[in-house]
Amino acid sequence: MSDVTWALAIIGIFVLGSFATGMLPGLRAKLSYEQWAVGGRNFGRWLNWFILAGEIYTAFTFLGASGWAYSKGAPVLYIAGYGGLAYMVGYYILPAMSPIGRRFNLMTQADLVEHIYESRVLGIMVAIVSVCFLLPYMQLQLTGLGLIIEACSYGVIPRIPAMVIAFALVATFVSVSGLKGVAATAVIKDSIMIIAVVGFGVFLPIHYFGSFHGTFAALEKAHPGWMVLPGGTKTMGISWTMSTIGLTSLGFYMWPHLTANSFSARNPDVLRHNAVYLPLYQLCMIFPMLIGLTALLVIVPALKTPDMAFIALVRHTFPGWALGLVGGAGALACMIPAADLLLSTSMVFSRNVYGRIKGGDIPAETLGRMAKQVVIGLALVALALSVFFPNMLVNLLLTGYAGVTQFFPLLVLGVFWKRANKIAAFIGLGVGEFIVFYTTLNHYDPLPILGMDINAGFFALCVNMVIFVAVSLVCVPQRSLSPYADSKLPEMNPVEG
Amino acid sequence: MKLLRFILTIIPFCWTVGGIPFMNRPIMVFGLPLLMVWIVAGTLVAFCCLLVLYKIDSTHQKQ
Repeated sequence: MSDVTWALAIIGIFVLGSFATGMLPGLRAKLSYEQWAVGGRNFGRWLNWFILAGEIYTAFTFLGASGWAYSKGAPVLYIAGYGGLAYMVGYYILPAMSPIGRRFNLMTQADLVEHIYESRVLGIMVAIVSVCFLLPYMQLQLTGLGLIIEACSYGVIPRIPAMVIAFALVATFVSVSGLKGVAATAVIKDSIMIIAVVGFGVFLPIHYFGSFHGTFAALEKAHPGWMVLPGGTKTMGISWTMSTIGLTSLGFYMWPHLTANSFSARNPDVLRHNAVYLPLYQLCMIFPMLIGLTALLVIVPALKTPDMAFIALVRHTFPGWALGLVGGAGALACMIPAADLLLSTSMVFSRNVYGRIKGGDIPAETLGRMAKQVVIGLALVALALSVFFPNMLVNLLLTGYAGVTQFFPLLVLGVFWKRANKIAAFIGLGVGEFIVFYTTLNHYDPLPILGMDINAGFFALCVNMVIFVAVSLVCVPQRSLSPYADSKLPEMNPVEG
Repeated sequence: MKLLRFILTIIPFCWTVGGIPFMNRPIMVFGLPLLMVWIVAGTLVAFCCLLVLYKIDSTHQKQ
């Protein structure tokens, strides 16, 4: 068989195999709304692990980590640095949120906010902000998928048909199987992802330079100081890296789909246990970086798109089967996170935006049916945006991480601090988002303050936090007990997962 | 015990974020750049701290 046939066959097997796996849970049994949306709140350690870990390796980390190592050098290390810290944050907040969700039947992050502050308007506001940041993130996965498939099929499958096919498959299995489908496919995706990333990450530097040591010696000769901050950039120095790690570690679990995933855990111990071991998984993040650095030394002339460094190097070195493996792994790294995003966005949209604006009691069955239709609708919207207006949402995407991190004060203090107040939440969130948009759109990111370059989102978070605490202290307390303390009551005897 | 938990929580942040200004030097350790080794080690430090926290919390829960 030729290179092209091998590559296409392997990509096809991975993509269709995952699709079939994703369909199974929904075809085997009729799923209730709760089973569809949060897996019946019954995920043990393994399924929950794959749901949580599945979000680490997305299109961005796969292509972006190697691309940044290729184009920027040392600043890429922030991606390796924030993980361990983010799980430390997760160790505290996820097990606290999960029992509140179980007791009060919450399914989304906006549900939780509405419940904590007893404010319908705040819930709707958080829901709308969430959708604004989730939609472009979904589009990013889709665009990444188009690039990967086109490059790995040697151009036989162009970008747009690849996106259409992949998203049709994703939307179908999400609307049939919900979170159970996402979890089942995440198992496949993570397994081949690890094989591809670690395999190539160890092999390629050694193949070209004899050892890791040799790779870095060659790098130092060709690009002196590449792995010392600010690397190949002007502004991404020490202060930028420190503030960016601060932002991303605190903001990681503020992504609405990750909060929602905590509701799927059987008990809080599952979440605690997984938070302990997830940092080890994060170590694999170093391998795409090694591949990016090797590409920088090996590939001549320089790539126009640094994000293609991983794929370009594999294509330069190996025959078609290897490109098929990377293409399959890359395609799943886009499709599975996109599936989870699609599920969460449709839940937030149907429950918190539509349902709460309409008001009144909407039966669970109606909401469930609607969420499944919204999945299809959102997939079409994301697809249309990627095909016709690929740059329209680029500003929202740039602000995505910084934007969702602004939920940190209202969500975390809301759970743990009984004085947290809804007025403070409104003002803090409003000011935080305003700073994020203002600085990003006017190119003030990184923000020069006192001779340092600070990540603008981190600056916004600090202002937001100060405002939140100050306003909460001034206002009359809303309630006598923090919601976490309240929800712990019926959870005295958690079943061992 | 509260103090111990606080210290375990704060160590990874001090290590990773706090260490960057001191470790950003053109030095090689085991043939790898110092900053990269430091940050990877920071992830292992986070793992160890989380493991101890988890042990403390599980014994606490059983009692």
